[in-house]
Amino acid sequence: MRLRAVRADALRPALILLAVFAFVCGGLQLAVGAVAPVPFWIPAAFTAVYAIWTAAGVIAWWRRPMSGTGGLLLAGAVAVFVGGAGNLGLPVLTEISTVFATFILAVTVHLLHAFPSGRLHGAFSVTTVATAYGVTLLLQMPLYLLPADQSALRSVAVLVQSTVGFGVMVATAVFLIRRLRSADPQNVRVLLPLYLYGILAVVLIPVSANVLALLGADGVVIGGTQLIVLAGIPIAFLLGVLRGGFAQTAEADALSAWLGNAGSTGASVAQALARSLGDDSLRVAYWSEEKGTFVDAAGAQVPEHEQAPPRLWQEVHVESRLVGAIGYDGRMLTDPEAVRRAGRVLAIALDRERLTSALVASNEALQLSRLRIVEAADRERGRIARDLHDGLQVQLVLLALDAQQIANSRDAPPSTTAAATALRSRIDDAAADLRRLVHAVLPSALVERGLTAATEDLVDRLDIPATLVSDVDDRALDPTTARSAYLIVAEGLTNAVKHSEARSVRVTLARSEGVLRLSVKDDGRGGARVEDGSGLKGLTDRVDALGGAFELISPAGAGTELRVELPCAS
Amino acid sequence: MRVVIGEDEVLLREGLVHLLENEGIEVVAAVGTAVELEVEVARLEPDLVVTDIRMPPTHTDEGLLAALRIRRSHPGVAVMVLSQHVQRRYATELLEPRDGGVGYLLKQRIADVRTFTEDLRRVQAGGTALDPDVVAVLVSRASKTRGPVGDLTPRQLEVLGLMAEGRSNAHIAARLGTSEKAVVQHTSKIYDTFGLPVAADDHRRVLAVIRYLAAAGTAGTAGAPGTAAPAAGSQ
Repeated sequence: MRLRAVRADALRPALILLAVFAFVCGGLQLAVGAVAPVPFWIPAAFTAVYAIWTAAGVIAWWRRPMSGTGGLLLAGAVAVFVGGAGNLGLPVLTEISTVFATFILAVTVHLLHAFPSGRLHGAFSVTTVATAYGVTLLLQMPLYLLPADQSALRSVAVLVQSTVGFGVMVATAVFLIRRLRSADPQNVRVLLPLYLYGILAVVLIPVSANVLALLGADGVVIGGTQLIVLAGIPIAFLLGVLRGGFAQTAEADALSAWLGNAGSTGASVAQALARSLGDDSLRVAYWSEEKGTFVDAAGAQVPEHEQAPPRLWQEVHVESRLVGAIGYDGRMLTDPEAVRRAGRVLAIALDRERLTSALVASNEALQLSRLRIVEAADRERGRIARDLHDGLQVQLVLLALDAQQIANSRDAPPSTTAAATALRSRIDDAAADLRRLVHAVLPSALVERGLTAATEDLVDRLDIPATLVSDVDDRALDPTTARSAYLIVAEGLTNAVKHSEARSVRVTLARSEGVLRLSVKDDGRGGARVEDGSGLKGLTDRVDALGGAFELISPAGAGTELRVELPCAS
Repeated sequence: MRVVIGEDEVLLREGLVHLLENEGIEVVAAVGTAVELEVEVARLEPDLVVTDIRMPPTHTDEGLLAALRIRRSHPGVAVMVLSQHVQRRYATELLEPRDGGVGYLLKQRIADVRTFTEDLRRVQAGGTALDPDVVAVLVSRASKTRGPVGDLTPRQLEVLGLMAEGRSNAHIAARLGTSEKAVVQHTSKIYDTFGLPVAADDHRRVLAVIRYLAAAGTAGTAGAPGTAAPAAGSQ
């Protein structure tokens, strides 16, 4: 930003000075015009047109410092000024004004060819514009050098000037039509009206004198019409420059500063480039290593015609590695060096973006993989618990039943009865052990009802007084979240009983706005650390994998609170 | 006694049918889903339903929900719920709709055939049968509060537990190896301590005790107003 400011600081005072000088000149012209031997409206009208050209030139230069359009408009302003000065009745000024009488038409042709960059592009344009200047300066000479009585020669001179001038306009029209036909639609909407007005103005100004005279108009009407058409030219170009977003607004180094500041994405980089280089059709493409082709920001392949003339294609490299490209309209941006400079800035941004997206992608992949591991572990727990419930637990009931039936059979000797009863009792003990194991793997209440019911059962069986407050609707919670929350609460309660020497503990479950908040708070000795128990460490990993937050608040001597937030779809 | 059985494990269902028929109990239907269970109950109006909790299609708590609906819609049908794990919440839900005629036991209790059939008959007669496991939860919860449960002697606590399981005084006396008279003394002391009115009906006395225990525990965990004390050690 500072770089840009320095350049603007250098340019803007100069433009202000220029505007002041032009203002003074305009004032002088008006003052002299007031005492000149012509009707006052003539110098006044010329001064007004001159003022319009000057203002347009200054504004265009100010707003688009990298475009030559502003300078050309100011050259036009000088031409208008000189033309107007011929009416002031001062012999020297009249001579000069005669020399430059049609110069403004050449400037307009120049503007048409050079728009929007302000620079001529291609030998055809250069030749045409040079010829235009020749027509208005050299072919004008016979008109003021030949004596007034050589009317035949003068007619020949006028004919030659008109013919060559007409040729210049035909060439210009051909050139502009070619440009329009190959321009991008968004550029056409600005270019077309501008071109039409420019060509009509250049043709009408000289022709209108004869046509209007034939229609019987007097000199005032003719002069007034010409001046109005002339005044429209700078307005049209100024609007074109500003509306079209053409021409650089900032230097590439200013762009780099901008890139450094902004957390720029691909789309915003392309936009910034288009704006600062002055081509709305500019596209940024990315090199895809795996596809071996250029892709756009959305990952779609860039079509071949985007890389073929009239589009130009500037590849962008980072340390000789291809990272992307800038596709632009070669007719809009005539200075490839500016694009190359922008490309070097873009290279950094593209590479940063590429690395960022690679990092994000791998991070996402890692996160998903962790989530899958958690879910796989939960599935495995579920499967084990179900297998035990449907298999071994049933088997133990049937075994115990068989043992008891042996014990109860009438013909069994007392020793058999006693042994079978003892066996049944031992099977019951094994079943109780298995029940505890199944409960630890995946509690029935969690499967059957959900988190609150399971936590309630957990709290019920705790050795110390425990309070449960829950507003969670069990059936609206997804299994992974519910299981994780349960395991966290279970671990928190185990720690409270085993390590905290707590006398009571409070469990809170709350759900709001897609977040499940749970807290296990005891009144024990505190000082617990996540690193102390593998249980808590494992849970932090689980919470992390689910994208939740884990907090252990345990000041020494002031109890321990385990606070966890888990995202849950609402 | 006519019984309908709901159990999705085929071996266990057949084992149950076999066991009950051996004990002279008529099994009029044995089905594998909660939906079939309710259909059969409506059709056959049995004296007793014996059902699992987890059954198809969701394998969650459809057996329990069916049992609760049967208790509400068929007052004459007693319900025995069996499960691999017992918890307080289900016990209180089962005791809610109406007095007695309900049992809630671990499946493993089936193996002690004599006690199990005794439980079934008591439930069918309007009594209750709560698993010792869930009674232990109730008593331990109640004793964690500063209420009168903490004032009971160990022997009184034993009697209290057996009462809550739904046992008769005779059974408690036999189990503890003491006289029925001694048991009556203990139970009177328990009623006094809890401030419960002495009801003539055995079943009602048992229910009063269970509800007292459930409420006392609730006071401890939820901090309901107007109860004896907050959770011990919270100060």
